Amino acid sequence: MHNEIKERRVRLGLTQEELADLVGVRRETIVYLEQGKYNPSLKLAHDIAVALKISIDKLFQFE
Amino acid sequence: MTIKQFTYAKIGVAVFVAIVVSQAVVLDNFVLACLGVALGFGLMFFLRRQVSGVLADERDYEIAGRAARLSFNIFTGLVGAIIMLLMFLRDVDPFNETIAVVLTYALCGQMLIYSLVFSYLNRLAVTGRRTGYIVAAIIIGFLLLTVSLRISSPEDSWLCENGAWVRHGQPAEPQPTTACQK
Repeated sequence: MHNEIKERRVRLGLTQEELADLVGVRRETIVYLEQGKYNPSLKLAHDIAVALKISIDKLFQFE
Repeated sequence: MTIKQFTYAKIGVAVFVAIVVSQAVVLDNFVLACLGVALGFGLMFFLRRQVSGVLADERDYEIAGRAARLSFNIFTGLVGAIIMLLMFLRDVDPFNETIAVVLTYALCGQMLIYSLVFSYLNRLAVTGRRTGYIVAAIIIGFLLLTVSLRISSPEDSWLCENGAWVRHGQPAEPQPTTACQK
């Protein structure tokens, strides 16, 4: 699964730590998400999409 | 408290508990050891509540679940093999059979608790009710009572067989001095 988390986060000027705090996870989880090494739950995907002001289907793309 | 500070505090608590328990062992004081462990738990509970950041998230829980499942399978398989080996070697040393029986009880207890917890969590996920806690506590309490009764029962004794006293299990008392006439 490909995602646009890093691009979107950088565009909004957020650090990994800040995004982690916004969605209530550890910074390491954001790192793994950005590297595509972890598939989030639907709730976390939704929370990240809300925090990054983007829809889930645009943030995550199934390949 | 930050997560880094919490990590240092956690190490401090672990060192404290280790010192108290080791001193309790040296002094042969069971109460002191229990107090030390209880205080450690209390401190950890208090410290956890002081942390402002996220200590664990869904990824940690997912990995923890997989690790627990794998550990359970490894432990079950390993102990099962040890039990069979000990039963096979019971003629070498009668104590092997006792160890095998104790391990069997432990293994069965573990599998039973796993089944109960699994069905409870499965039920909780469907109904959302937490009333199963009481039922689970009663069942686990009953199991613990059964095991403690079995351990403390005087089943281990000397049996008179073919004119000789034969040790059954691990009797605490020495071989009877009275004549065995069977």
